[in-house]
Amino acid sequence: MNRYIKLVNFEISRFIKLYFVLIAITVISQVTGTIMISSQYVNSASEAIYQHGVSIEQFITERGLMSMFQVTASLWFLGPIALCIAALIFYTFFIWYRDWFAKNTFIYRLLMLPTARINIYLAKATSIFLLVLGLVALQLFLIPLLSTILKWIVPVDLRLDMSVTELIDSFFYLQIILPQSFVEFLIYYGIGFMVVFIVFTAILFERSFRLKGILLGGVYGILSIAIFTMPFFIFIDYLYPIELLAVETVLGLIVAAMSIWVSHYLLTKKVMV
Amino acid sequence: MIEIKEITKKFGRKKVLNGVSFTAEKGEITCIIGVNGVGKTTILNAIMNLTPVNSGQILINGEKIHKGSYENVTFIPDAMTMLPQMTISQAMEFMQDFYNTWNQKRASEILGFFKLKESDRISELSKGNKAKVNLLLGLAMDVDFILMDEPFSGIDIFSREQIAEVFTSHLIEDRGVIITTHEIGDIEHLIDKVVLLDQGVVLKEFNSEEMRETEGKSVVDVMREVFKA
Amino acid sequence: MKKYWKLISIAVITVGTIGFFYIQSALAGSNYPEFEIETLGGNDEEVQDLVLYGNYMEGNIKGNDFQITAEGIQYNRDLSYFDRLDRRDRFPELKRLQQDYKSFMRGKNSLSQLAESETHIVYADVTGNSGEMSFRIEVLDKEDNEQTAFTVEVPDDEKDSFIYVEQVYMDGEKVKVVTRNHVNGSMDGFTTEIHVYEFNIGDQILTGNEMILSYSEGSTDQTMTHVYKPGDGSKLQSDTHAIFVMEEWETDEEGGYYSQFAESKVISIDMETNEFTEFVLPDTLQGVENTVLLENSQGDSMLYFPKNNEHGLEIVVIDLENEKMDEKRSFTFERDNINMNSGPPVTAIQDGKMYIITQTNEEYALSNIFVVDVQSGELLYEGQITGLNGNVKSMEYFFHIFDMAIR
Repeated sequence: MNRYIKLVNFEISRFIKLYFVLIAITVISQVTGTIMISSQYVNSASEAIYQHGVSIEQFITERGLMSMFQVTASLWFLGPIALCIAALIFYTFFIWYRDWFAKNTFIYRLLMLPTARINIYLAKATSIFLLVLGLVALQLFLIPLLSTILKWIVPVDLRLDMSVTELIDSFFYLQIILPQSFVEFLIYYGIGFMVVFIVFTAILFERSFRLKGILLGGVYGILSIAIFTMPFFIFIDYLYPIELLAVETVLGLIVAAMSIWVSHYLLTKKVMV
Repeated sequence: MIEIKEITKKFGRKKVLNGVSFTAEKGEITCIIGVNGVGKTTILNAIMNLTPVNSGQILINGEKIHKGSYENVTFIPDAMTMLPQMTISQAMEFMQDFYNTWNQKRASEILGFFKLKESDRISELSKGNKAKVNLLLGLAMDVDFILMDEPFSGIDIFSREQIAEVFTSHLIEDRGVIITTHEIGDIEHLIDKVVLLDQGVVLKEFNSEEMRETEGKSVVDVMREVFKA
Repeated sequence: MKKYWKLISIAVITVGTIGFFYIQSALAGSNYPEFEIETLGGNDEEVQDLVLYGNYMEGNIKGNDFQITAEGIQYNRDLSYFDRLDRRDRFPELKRLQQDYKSFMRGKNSLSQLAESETHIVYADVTGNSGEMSFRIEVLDKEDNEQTAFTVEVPDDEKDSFIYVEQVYMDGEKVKVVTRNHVNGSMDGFTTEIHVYEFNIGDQILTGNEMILSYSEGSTDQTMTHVYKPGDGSKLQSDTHAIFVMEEWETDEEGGYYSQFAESKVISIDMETNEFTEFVLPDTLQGVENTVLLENSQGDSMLYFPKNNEHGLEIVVIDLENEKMDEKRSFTFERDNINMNSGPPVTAIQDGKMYIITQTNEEYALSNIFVVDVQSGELLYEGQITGLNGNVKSMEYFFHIFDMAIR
């Protein structure tokens, strides 16, 4: 097993407890939310129909059919997603700083490993990618489960069944997490990971030059984003959409490669314990 | 041989090392002596490429440091290099996982020598035992050179004695050691070579045995002379 | 290997789940109901080139945009990303120009700024800020593929804050550009002017500047005016007339919080002569201004207003030369299934044929399609969009055609 894979495994292991907590919060909150929202709907339906003599049709006209949409639009569903996103954004920084700060100075060990130092960077980045995608997969896994729970609680006459794809079409936030097509999935997450590379490099600037490095890291970040978004300011009227996509793909790869190359330089020549 | 050639290091405007040069041979214990804050740690960090120097050159067996060098030089810093939540056995497993020159047999031997328990969590160890774990992780590797940063600072007397014992044992034998300290007491009789450092400059570099034979001075005598001047 | 279970399981589960999801959704496609065009009468060749754009919605939640052709329905989510990226499908004429003249057409996305003749394509744009605005005219000679471009300063542009190109007209060396100029705001609100600028592309000079109309968009003397070009800009405006709709609203003294619709007019500019005519629409045509279609037939320019009424689909014709309604040429198709509450029909006109989509009030027939010969008023085709049996599960759905294009 090469040392890069070992490092990825090691980084994942270091986050796994917190990761399981995030997963648990997501599952518990989303399952509870589904049960709560479905029950409330059924309760108000039976109250309206049996106690106030409202017809089913009239109730549906007023309240609409119960569907997964009501669940996904609720805080029960979105809250834990927001929490996971926040946690992983935070961890993007913390995955580096935890090695320098606190009582342990694990960075000594990491930098003294008999492997190219860029592997540390790549392993940390890979870990973030895997952790993010793992949560996306969890969501894909959970939605059918939640649909099933909803079907148990809400009778067929009162509900609008939706497949995962239909649910995604109906809700903008879900389209960001799970884009309609695989190409968009690659584009969205490709951009996300490019940003992770940029942030990592900015952190290494800070770790190499400290106070001055914050400035350098900021400049580096702005420069990278400027390179990547440049076509939108210069060529937007000139390029056809497919050409713009091609240019952006190339620029995204260039920016990511530049980050890796600069980080390699900083790690071997400039970084300090 | 580790060769330090004219290294200079600035932190901001402060010059911590100003043209430091010396060599450390395999089979010898080289001791860098100086008061706190004169750049002793910086030299060790620089050798391991943990702190980049502004100028000068460091060669290990004639080569600049590269990833393979870490299989051949081990650094035992003043700080813990493993995660506090790890147990000692997990820490050893980590070392075995990443270093080809990790010697598990020797590790077990040192573990017994220091009377450490494998299942102990690093965060729960006393300061002295933490230092021993650090030593264990460094010494259990089959390397040519061992760098130690202040191995005796801030730990209890019994631990110090135990650690000092290591230097006369077969664990060190024919390896090259660079050690930094601000108090020579515990190991004066062990060291082969002394580098006296002050204000980022090497004031004197000498062989302790030669010094005793030719000038009849102990290391402490020389220190008195040099630092008082 | 046992040590790596966390890594391996996260990687396997992640790749497996996400991979399965995208493979499955690519293979299965969406599960939305199928709709099709059903021919009721006439020649179904007439709708071979028709593309209808609409939206399907169940319970206000579940649904997607789609396009329907004679071949069937395609939901947007089932299109590949690259097809969705290419929004030009909505503008077949733009797509044709961009495909045929790729280099010239770069950055030219607005059909209202383009005009095409047998031999040339011309493009007009106004750039720069107030006081230093200039026209940029670009011409492509289709035969030798030669491009020429020139810029001319906009005369008297100190007073203008924005200039929009609304229509371009070409006749030999003569190019006319219809613009809407927003004059810098004054105390009385905003003044807007409609100009016709004339250029000679041989000499690359401005040869004329005529202000056709000036109106205040503010709420002076208790009226509010709003002028716009009807249609959705999906058609290349190579017409002999530039058509605007002017709506007037009466406001109270407070400054327009409570305004009431007063009247609307059709304004027509003859591109040959810059002659300007104004036709106040009768009450029966208020509210359907945006469906107006212009067609030149036998030298006459006619405006067509398809509209729903209680009897069915009515097409009112206005003769621009005589500035009056042409009762003889107006006609009605009597149908009893047209939904009066669904707003004006979706319309298009091309090559002497008018295409009209109306919403029905029937349960499984969702829209009527009419293709009418403009000259004769003859109904060339009639059809409807219907849900394929059993496919529409819930009756709580919303089906709506909002645009069309002719390929």
